Amino acid sequence: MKNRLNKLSMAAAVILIAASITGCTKNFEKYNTNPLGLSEGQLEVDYQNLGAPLKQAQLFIYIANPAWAYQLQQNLIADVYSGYMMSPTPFQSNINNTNYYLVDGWNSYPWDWAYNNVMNNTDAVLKKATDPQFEAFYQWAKILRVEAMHRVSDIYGPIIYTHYGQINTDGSIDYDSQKDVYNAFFNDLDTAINVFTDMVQNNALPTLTNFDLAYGGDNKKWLQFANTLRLRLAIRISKVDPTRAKMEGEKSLSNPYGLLKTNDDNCMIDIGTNPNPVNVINESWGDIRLGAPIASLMNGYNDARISKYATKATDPAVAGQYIGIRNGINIDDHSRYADYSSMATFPNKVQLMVAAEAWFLKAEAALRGWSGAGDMQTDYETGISTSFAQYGLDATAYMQDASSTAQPYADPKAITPGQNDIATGSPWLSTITIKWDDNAGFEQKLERIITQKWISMYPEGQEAWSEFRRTGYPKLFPVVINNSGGTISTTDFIRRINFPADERSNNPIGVQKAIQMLSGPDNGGTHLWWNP
Amino acid sequence: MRKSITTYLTCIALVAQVFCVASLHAQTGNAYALDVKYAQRNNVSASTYKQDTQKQTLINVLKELNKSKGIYFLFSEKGIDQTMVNPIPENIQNTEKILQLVLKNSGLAYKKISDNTYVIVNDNQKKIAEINVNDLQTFITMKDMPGAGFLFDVISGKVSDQNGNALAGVSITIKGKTRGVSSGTDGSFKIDANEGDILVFSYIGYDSKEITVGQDHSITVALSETQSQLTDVVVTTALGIQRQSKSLTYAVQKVNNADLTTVQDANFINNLTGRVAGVTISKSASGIGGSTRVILRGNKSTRENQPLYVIDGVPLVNYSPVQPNDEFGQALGNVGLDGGDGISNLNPDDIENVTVLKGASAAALYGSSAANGVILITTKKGKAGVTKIDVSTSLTFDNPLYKEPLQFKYGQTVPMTSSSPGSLESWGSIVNAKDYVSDFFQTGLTSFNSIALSGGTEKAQTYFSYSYTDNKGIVPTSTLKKHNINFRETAKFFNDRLTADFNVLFLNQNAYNRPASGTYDNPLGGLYSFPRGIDFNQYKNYEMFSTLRNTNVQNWWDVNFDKGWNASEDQQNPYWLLYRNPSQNTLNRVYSNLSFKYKINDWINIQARGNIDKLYNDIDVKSYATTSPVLTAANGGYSLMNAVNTQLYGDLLLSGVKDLGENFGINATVGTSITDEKFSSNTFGTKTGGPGLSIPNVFVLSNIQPNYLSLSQDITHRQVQSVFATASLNFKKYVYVDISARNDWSSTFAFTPEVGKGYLYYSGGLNLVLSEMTHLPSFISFVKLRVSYARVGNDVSAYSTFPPNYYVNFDNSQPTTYNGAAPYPGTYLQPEDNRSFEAGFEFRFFNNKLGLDATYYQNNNYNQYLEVSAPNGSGYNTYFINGGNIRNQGVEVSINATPVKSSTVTWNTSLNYALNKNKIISLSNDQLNVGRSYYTLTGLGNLLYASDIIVGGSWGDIYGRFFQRDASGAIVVDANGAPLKGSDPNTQVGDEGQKYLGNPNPKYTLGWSNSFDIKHFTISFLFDGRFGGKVMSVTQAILDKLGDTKATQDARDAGGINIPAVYEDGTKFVGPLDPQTFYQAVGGRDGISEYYMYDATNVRLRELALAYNFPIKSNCIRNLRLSLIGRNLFFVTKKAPFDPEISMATNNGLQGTETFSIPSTRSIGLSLNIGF
Repeated sequence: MKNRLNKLSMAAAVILIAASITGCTKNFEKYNTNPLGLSEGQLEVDYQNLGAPLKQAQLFIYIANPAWAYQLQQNLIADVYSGYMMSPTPFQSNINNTNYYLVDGWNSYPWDWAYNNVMNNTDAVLKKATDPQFEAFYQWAKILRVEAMHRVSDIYGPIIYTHYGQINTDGSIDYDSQKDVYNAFFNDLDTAINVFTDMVQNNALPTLTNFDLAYGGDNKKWLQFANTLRLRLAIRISKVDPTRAKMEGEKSLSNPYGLLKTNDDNCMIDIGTNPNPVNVINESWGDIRLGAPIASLMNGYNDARISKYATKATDPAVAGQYIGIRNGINIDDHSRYADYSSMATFPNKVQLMVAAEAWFLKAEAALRGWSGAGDMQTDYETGISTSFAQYGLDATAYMQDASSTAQPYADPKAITPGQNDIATGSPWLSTITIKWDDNAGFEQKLERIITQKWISMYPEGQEAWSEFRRTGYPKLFPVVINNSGGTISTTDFIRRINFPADERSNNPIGVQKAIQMLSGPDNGGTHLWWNP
Repeated sequence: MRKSITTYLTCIALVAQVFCVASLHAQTGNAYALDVKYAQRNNVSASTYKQDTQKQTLINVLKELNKSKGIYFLFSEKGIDQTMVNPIPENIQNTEKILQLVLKNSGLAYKKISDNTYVIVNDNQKKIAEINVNDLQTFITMKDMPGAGFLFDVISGKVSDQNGNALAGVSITIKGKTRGVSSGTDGSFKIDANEGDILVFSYIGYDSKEITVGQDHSITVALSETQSQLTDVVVTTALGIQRQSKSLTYAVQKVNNADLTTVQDANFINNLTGRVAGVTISKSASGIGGSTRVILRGNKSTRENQPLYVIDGVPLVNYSPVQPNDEFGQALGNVGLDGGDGISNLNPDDIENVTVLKGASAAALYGSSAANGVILITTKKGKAGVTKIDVSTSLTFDNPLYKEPLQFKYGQTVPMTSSSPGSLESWGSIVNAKDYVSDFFQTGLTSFNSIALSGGTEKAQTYFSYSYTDNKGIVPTSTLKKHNINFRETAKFFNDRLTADFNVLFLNQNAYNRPASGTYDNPLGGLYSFPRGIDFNQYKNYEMFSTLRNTNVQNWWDVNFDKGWNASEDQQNPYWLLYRNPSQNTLNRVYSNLSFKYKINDWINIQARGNIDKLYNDIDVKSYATTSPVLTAANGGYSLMNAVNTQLYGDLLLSGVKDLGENFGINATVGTSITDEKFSSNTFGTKTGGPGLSIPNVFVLSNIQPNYLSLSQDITHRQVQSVFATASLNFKKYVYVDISARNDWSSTFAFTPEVGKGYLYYSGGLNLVLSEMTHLPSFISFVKLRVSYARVGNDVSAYSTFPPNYYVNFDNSQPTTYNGAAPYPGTYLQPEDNRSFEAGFEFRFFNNKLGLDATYYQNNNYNQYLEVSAPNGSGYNTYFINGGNIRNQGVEVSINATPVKSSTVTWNTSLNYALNKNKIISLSNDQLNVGRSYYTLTGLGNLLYASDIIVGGSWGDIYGRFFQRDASGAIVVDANGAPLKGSDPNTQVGDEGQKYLGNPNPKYTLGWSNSFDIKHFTISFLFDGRFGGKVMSVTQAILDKLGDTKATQDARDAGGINIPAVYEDGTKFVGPLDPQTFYQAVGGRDGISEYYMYDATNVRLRELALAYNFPIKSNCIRNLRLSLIGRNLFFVTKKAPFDPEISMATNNGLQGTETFSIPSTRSIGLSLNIGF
């Protein structure tokens, strides 16, 4: 009897312990909350919940840090394809993007990093800042998003924009065709510009100050930026949809606060104490050098800006010259071209848009007969002088040069002598001169505008590559080696990057549908929608 | 807050309550015991006997008893034998009663010291109490009695184990007779026997030994531990529950101390290689003291595959702070390191034995991570009896086991001049340079010294040990110093009902320049690729004065600060890296355990345990200015990591063992436990791409320029609470049914509906001992069939159920980081579901001389916690899901035999075979439509090696770049004859440039161990082999491109490479391929991976020991053994250019590949063991 009682009490104790343990799980929520994470409550202080995400967004449009991410996002794609730069490193036994072997492992970066740093953050703000008092954050998020995502669309074509965050029942997410996505960009910019116009007119408080890495919270400058961005996109579609292009462009041209005008308006994202990623790749890693086409043009033009853009070569074969490396050539070892012209050391700011570009956009708008564009020649010359002024230089004499043209390119270190040279008379050597000629034809005027715009936008290769694809200007040197397996024409140049491997495996159904939106197969030879 | 404290108090109160119940019970138990004694006394006094006045001399009476009952007697002093005593009473069988009556009123008394041995003493209570079995030798034997004319000679001697440790309680009988004695605590015994009698020594867990009594009446016997698992071998199972091995329903394998310490490895776990079927051990390529990866029955998970380690019933944190995560070797920032692991922290001499519970059935009681099996470690305790001191010391010399196949014939392509360093490649003319590489490695030296003191009384025992390991690696400057202190006290209270056991372990370990793999921060990169023809010796002076910097800077053939020469990051002076980029990893660990076990009655006990394990791991890496700018900031770099790991564990167990009636028995335990683990680390470092430090080469945190400081903090906290019950029921001790159940509540399920109900594990097994159920032919000694099934759960990653949207970010311009990793929208995380089945049999033949144990198992790991990359458009970058099914199936066979067994020679041999097939059946969750068919363990990036878990493949499959081939299989080359990379549009891993190239896991493994006892010599050796599998050498790829390998020399000597090749247009390539063109396309860290895959099959002589046990005459020294030992002596066969057993990392990544890893070492040395 006694024994049994003891056993019973023992059993009872065990059951009680078991029961009490479920009681002990009350602390589990505390234990399982990551102390390094931020709760919404913690973020609300100083509007960090709205501002901090947009700070992150600004820093990843053109990736400021880490440098290797920028290297794969832009440096080994657009910076090279734009003719600005070339790598002396024979990555992957010299079978890589620079000679049209599109490296899957590289080409996810422009996509992944934009979605994981800009699209997600702007989306979070769009969801949170619905209250009218946060209107500035809401509209600013839209501007940043368009700025970031048009760059992504200009690489791949169709992207996920209006269907962002909408997971279909089959797990896929739908793409927008490039036409639809540009339409969405215009719509987003439209409302943002209207709101910002009102804010500027009503002298609204600069609520963005603590988070604005470009303009210190100056609403007016963001308004001018947005207007210029809309004009950029309008010009981009001017070939494929001239009516829409004119309509959108004229809206920007007629906005009371207009476009970026002076170098004070340049959109330069302050990246704090991080070094400019180009400096890291150029100086610490030696993985990037000046491109042959820009050296050829600027040498030919005696363009003083070249000393601000690059340093002279130190290789004994070419020492003292500004000489770039031609894209897509045979490179056996890094040391072969390591001492060609390096990039200059850039400030701790990444350049998204300069005032000079706005003037060249206006010039082209005038060329296309859009109202409010002003005088074509004035726009063109202001563009040049603004760019020179950006580097503390004077353009007066330069603008009057009616004879200089691009310098022929000779590469004394080519493995096969002469293989990389572009001689005088080559169809790939630009013959356009600097001085404005009102009597020139449409195409010549366009080439002149775009060529100067291209020099001015350096080193931001993404926009330069897009405009080269749209217009064919400036004349660039085709690749010597083409490892695309026939998918990319050497003479037609690369037109896009195929959809990223991550998307093909994570969103295969979405990608299959997106490929149907292309005008051709999913490879680098297929033209984008705005580039028929 | 208040609520939580109350909850705690409730918990504590409940525990206290259980103790109260327990002590109440104990009191009742005592009362009951007293009653019994009382009754016995009454019985004695009630017995009838006839008072006989016919007294006789004691010696005559005892002679009589000796003849009739086979018992014998010792005397405490001389002369007692002539005392007159009562005659032997009639009709009484009980010896003790007879003695009581015989000695009544004689002034003498007796004390029983073993079943058939009694000591006769003058009746003096004090004296009786003082008599101790240990005093056996001081007694006077019958033989010494004058004129006794005894039938027997007294044989005295000592019994010990193979290592000379005394064995107490060994039964010593004379064959064919019923007489026998047992040995005392110091192993000594005395027995009366005649010349020609055969003495049989038997002891649980040891092979019986027969010795014929000869002229020598002093016998020293060493018993060897039973190799085959005998029916009465006691095995420690889950939670420290002791079970007879015959009763188990699943496979376990036990490894004894001797196997761990005879040919010692600094990490004792490496000694399991080849000894346990189904265990695969990979060492990191970091030499002595590096971490080790242990896999039981195949890889099962995308997260953790290593088993749980349990010391004396308590889980041990086996944790590595950092592991390399790519071919560069980057672990801490871009610093390459192996952070070591936790299991290597133990002193092997403290380990009594290791039991490997390979399957989930065996381990189900351990809950989370039981799915990967459990390795149970039982440590030594003090033993009652004389104080023992064991000293062991060993010194081994370590040398590279193989050389990287390099060439020194052809020189630098563009030779060095005063103005230019020349080229990195060695595709130049013949220079016949000297082999400078072999000189780089030095003879490593490992010394291991330990002292262990143990002793105590029946009431309290103490064990204390100290050991010191000192290693000088084969790479200059690399050292490891390790101090272990272990103190353990075991004591009994309250009439031996309460046993308290306390121990504390302290470890201090200092690893200096532990070699790392990879292309970064690795001296072997610069060493192997140094252009041939330049004098290497001039760079042994690794620094030179720089006028520009006014300090010493790196001196290397292509690094010269003043000349502006700056090498690529993988081309640094090896000595500069060793002396000017030193790494130091300091580990301090305190592990303490307190347990109380209370015996409620003779079949129930209750046990409470508490444990704390605190580990401080500090890593400090300095890097002087002028180290490559890719690796280090301009003024030098500094990285510091402070990691602290704290685990608190407590449990409460109620266990009982009872026979229920004649036919049934039960062994059951119920209990509850709590584990709280908290890990935190703070890492500081300089960023590259700037000055880094303010004042060059001063390595303190305050010297890091704020703009170039990188900082990270990591905290993980998890708590698991459990209740569990297990029972083993038997019928007539030949049918056993095991059942167990456990429910865990893990804090990682907070914020899900799972948190309240927790998750359940269960297992069941059946075991039939056929040899005891039916009559079998006599050559079959034992047959057992067993089958078991288990289903175990596992929790998910800490914090994964409720991830924050934003993290704090340490960046000067960006305060927050968006976190796109979360459970799949609309779902919540659930526990993992691992199901395993195993069946096996055990046969033993010829009186246990031959044993065969075989097991088949299948394990399916369902519903795994997976972190899969999400489509970016979803708003996430990573989904957390439950899904997948990874299956492992396999067979394990162990054969044990004693082919020779005589009084002079014993040969024991055992063979272990294991085969495992792994298949990835699914990696997705069908309900979620998460389009996932592969899971990347190591990404390819721009390198050669990738490892992916892919549906239809096997865990660890290696992917990489491959040759473009035509239909006939000929490789396609470009116009210059350079092979082209292939592209596979059907690839499943998302990158057309990648293809499946092989799997590094062996198809099957074999281990063959032998030991010969020949008189005083013991010779033992162990061969082990891994068969099948493929591994990749990145080293050869990089060096091929540079023209530094033997392969490139051979190709040049042969005038080219003859491989069928075609041009891109399909026309045949005529003649041999140019070696330089070929290797520059195929080699390099981004070359054609396929070319660098090697068969991983290898067989080696793992261990060899020749020991001599000195025959001891001294009273002071108990045993003395000197051994010649060798480890990793040679390969019987090896096909890869490196040891396929080593891996760059011991976590899940980088398995089956190496990049500039140091060679495995061959260790030869001496060890000396002395027992006092």
